[in-house]
Amino acid sequence: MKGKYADDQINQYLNQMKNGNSEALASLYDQTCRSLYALCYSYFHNRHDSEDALSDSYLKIQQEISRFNGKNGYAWISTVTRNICLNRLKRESRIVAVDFTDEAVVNEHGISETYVNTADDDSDVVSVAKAVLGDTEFRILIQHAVSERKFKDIAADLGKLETTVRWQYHQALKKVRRAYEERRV
Amino acid sequence: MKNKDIERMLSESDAWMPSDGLKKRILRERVTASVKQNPEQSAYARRIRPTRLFYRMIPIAAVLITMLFCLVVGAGMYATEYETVYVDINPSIEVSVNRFSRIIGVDYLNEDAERCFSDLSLKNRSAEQGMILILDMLNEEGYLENGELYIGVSGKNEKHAEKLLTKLEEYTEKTQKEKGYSATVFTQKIAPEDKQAAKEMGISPTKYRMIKNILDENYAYSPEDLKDMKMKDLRELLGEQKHGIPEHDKDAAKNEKTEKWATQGSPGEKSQNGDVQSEKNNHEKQTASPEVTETKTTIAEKKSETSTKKQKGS
Repeated sequence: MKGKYADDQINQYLNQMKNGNSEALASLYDQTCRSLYALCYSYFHNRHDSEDALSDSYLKIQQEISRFNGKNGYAWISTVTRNICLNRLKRESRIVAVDFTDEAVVNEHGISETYVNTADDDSDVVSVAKAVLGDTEFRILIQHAVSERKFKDIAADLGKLETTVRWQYHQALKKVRRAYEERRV
Repeated sequence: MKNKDIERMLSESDAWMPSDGLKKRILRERVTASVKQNPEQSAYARRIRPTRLFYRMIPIAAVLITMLFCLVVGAGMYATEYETVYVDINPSIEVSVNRFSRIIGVDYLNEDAERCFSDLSLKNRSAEQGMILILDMLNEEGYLENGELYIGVSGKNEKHAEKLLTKLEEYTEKTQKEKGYSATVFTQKIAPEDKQAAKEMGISPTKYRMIKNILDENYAYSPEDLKDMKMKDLRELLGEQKHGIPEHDKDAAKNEKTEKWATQGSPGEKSQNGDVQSEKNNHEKQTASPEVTETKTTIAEKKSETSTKKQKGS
């Protein structure tokens, strides 16, 4: 999803949804699911929670469609998605962290192994990025490179300066490149 | 390899494709979830489909409307006059009957009827029950003893009217036998034109018919002369003039089975011992008997006599 053409299309779909066109949701989903999913993944680092958050995001978009002002559609929906993810993270921060590799703990809590995050879930470069980057760096990298969020917005979320976030992004890219090259060798 | 390559690889990675089922889930849950979670629905959610309550109300509303329609139509049908029953013995009473053979109205055609039947509650009873009550009242007043009871039925539907007349006749016969009443019963189907003409004269159609028959045969009388006479007297007068149904009475030719005025044999003859004589197919019997022929001759002679008298008088 790149460029002004994509932005105009998203605006068009959102305006259609606002006017009651139920078919526009499917088109909006096809246009934006990758970038919004990546945005969710940057927060949760696993497929299950990311898909749940994505589902909640589209639901929220429908519920709040009347508030869409007709412009900057992608910025609006990515803001909605970000808020959903942050709210979920806040709720989950109250949940006790469990070591998924500890079989005894898994059996005690009844957690299915299907929910255990493994490197096999992700492609090569993504798994390398996850392995070598910290949470903040991974989030900055994915949100800018895949979800196309602006450094200014990412910085505002993290409470950092834009220049800091920009520098951290390039540092993250460098780390992933090196690790990926080493792996290929 | 450059940083841009990593950027490109990251953005094009398949890792960012959600599972196939997610799209279906999102599209399926779009309305249900939005309705549940947000009571103040957005314009988009509201337009997707009406609430379940609306769909539930449709069959209920349809049933209520149907019931209301049936109620209104049924009430209208109940209150609409379908047939009229006339009972003459000397009190003359007109009973309006609806499609369901229920009495919906009663009219007294003379003072005797008002005196006799005003305390009787006939409304909403079946026509048969009403007839039994009328007979009981007439018997109490002494009219039935050796009297002559005339029952006429007028209706929009001829077949239905005929059916009702037959039923009333049966009930009357049955009641007379059970209770030992001794009136002679005559029944007749009333034509609409007779009903209208009778209404204008202020008498019952059965009486009107009797008067009409007399006038057809005897021009000496005027309607005013005959109007106040009792049914019994009228019939005797008619019986004096003719035996059986006159040939020139066009209605008689059509209503052979239902017109039952004339007695058999000599005029004024009536049944005794509580047996009801309802005379059926009199026309056929009468024309077959030699007495009818004599009667016709007698009538023709009288006619010529009357016309001669008139000429002399003028």
